[in-house]
Amino acid sequence: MTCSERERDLALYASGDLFEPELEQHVARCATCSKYVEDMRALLGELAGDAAPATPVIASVVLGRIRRRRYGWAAFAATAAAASVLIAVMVSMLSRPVETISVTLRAPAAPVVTLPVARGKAQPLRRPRKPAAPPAEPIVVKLVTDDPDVVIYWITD
Amino acid sequence: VNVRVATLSLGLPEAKRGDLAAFEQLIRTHERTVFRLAWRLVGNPDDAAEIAQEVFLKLYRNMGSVDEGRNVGAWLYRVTVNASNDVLRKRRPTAALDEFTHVSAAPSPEQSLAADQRRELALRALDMLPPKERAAVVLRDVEGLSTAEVAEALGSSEVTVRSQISTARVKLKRIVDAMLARRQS
Repeated sequence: MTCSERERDLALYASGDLFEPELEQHVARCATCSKYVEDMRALLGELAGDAAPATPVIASVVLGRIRRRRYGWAAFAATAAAASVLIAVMVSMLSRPVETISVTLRAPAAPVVTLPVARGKAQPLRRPRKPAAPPAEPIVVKLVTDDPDVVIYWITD
Repeated sequence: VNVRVATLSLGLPEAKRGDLAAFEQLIRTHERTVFRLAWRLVGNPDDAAEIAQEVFLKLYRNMGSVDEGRNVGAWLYRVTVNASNDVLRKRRPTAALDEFTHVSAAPSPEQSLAADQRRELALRALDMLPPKERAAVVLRDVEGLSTAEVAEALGSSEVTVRSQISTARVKLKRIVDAMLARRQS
């Protein structure tokens, strides 16, 4: 095996990831491989000394996003709970049995119709002239509840 | 549970019970490592910061499934590598690796360059590696993890990781040598 074919082994040998006595003896004798190992070590040194830029703010951003998500859900849950309570109260009120309601209906009196009495010669019966319509009197519906203080009037024409 | 694992997983049980202060401590223990790894993998700090945030949010959502007896760092490394690879997949390739890897190794005049220039070349070369090889070499040679830890973080076998690392190092050296040769010509 030539030196160039052992590059991958030398790359591991340079960092101590590969140890073979035979390879070590060869590197000690071969100037090319010795230089290769030396350069590789220098290269790995450059990588190990790699200075990253200053770490940006990460923790506070992540925690902020977690809190927003948490409180977002909490707000949603609170709103949903409040809405549920409200709906339950409304359903409960609507489904309560209606207490006794008495209704008094007062309608307007029927108009009086007078028929003419026939005397002597019979006259053809004529349809009486329609009297003028009395002024419309509204229908008043009075709803009396159990609560004496609550009386509902429904007035309509 | 060894001391290192216990230290790196400090606060995890409390965080699992909903203690946000403990979770914050957990983030602060690992944020620099996660950010630096993402930065080295994707090559720019803005993407790296976003990846780091997503990694810790994912940790928060999946804390229940993270084993307290194991190093939470390995879990974070794995998720960071995956998230970084997702970002890289969406990008267009930025440099042609073949152009450098097929150049025969030139005598290296590295010592004539200033330290910051050598570092810059090494980092540019790192950016040209395929994602899996880059992840392996960043974890091993930049972060200083052992081969076993890298294997755990990448979900691979140690044999695979050793192969990736040796291949990646050879490529890195060829790329750096080719860059130096171009500068001199």
